[in-house]
Amino acid sequence: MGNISPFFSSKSNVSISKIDKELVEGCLKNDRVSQRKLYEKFAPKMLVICMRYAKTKEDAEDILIEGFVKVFAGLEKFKQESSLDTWIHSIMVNASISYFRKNSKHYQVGSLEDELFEIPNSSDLDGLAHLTGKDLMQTLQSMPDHLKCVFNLVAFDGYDYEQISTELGINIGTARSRMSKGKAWLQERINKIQKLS
Amino acid sequence: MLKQTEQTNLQHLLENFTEQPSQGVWNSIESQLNVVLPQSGQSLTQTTATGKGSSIFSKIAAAPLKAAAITGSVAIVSTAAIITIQVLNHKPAQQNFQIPATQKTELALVSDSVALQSDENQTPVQEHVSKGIIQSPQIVNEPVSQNPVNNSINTTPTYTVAQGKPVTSNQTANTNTLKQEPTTKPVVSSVTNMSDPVLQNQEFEPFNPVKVTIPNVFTPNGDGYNDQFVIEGIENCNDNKLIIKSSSGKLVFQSSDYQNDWNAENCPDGVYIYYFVYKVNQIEEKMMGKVIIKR
Repeated sequence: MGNISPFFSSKSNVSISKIDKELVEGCLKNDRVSQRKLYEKFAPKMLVICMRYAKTKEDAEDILIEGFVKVFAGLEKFKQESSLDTWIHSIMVNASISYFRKNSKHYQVGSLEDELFEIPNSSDLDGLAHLTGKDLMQTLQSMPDHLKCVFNLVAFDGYDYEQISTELGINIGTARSRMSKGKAWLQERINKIQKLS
Repeated sequence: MLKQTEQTNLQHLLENFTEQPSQGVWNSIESQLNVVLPQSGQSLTQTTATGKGSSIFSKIAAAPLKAAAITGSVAIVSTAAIITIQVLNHKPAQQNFQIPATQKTELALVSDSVALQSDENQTPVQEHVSKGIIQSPQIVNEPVSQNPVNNSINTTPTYTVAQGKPVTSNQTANTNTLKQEPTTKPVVSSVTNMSDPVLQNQEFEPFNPVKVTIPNVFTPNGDGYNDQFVIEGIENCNDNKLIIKSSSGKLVFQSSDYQNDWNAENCPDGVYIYYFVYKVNQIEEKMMGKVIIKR
């Protein structure tokens, strides 16, 4: 549970801070006060991660709940070699993936079309400078489910296509095509937002 | 497809973005923690109405219980309306959890282990979802016509699940044990691990049980030993029907009124799935499982 993706383990030569270490110790003793403190500290940021993967804030909170229960239940396994933030982050991503697998109406393993889909040479995402964080978040939330999961894993959470293929149980070709389509979808949305502003 | 710079730009946009969770979120986490990581002396009672009870309950069930939180055995006592979970030998103290049993209540206890289902109109069934370590007895309800209402309060069936006891090597069969005569109370009828001290303290009622045992491996290689797929106890199985499918779902054998004579002709070695349906005392029973054919 909670395999830290390579993206994070390379960043995490920051090991656990002293404050976090104390929090963890309290939580390991199953002290509800410490657990609440840990939750209060990390939840706002972690909810953002879950919101990227979910359609609504309510769904995101469901993922958050499941994620935190896993955090506390599995805290013994946390080796404290990486930062606590990194570890919790990876659990949230895993919880988001499970959520996607369980709930997405469009959850399909992928089709031959995906494999044959030719990835167009795309230019860089344009117009990001005109977006606010809120814009981006809302846009991500409305991205079609099957594209959204892959897009998030690549763009934000450092997964490569092989890992995505394994985690989601889809073919690599499908993963790539969804990423490409997700990016194209995002670009279209950005263009629309720009036109309105 | 997405360059490092693009990734950085995207991430940068959300870097300082936070979102406060709603008020109830911590409560939900805490109530799951009360099941998964119970604190000593704490009891958990669900008193919500039927509809809500089951949905909250299944959320709790979704979180697997930490193995260290429950040591020893978990005993489940079922009354008409409440499922009480007693955590025995819990360190530091015995824990009781009471949860209202609604039409359909699912509970998953212990990391990747027990799942329980209680539907008041049907036979309560226990399946263990674990890797075969946990053995649980099966309860048989009296026929619906005799007693359409659920268990009376005085005769609560008790079934226990022992955790962490490995399957011994001679437990290779799938056993279904039924009472030969109908009774007026539910009965614990088969326990495959009697060495558990908790189980020994329970009261059981089976007498002259009908035991139906289906092997999970057989070797049709002509050596005279184990050459047919033999279902023990089949003489008590009326109106029986056996279906064998390959692991890819292809039907390879079927028989109504099976005579213990299948020898897996034209079936290569491998894993197959059996479905065996039969009646005892007019009650239909089903058994299903895997059988390995190895010559």
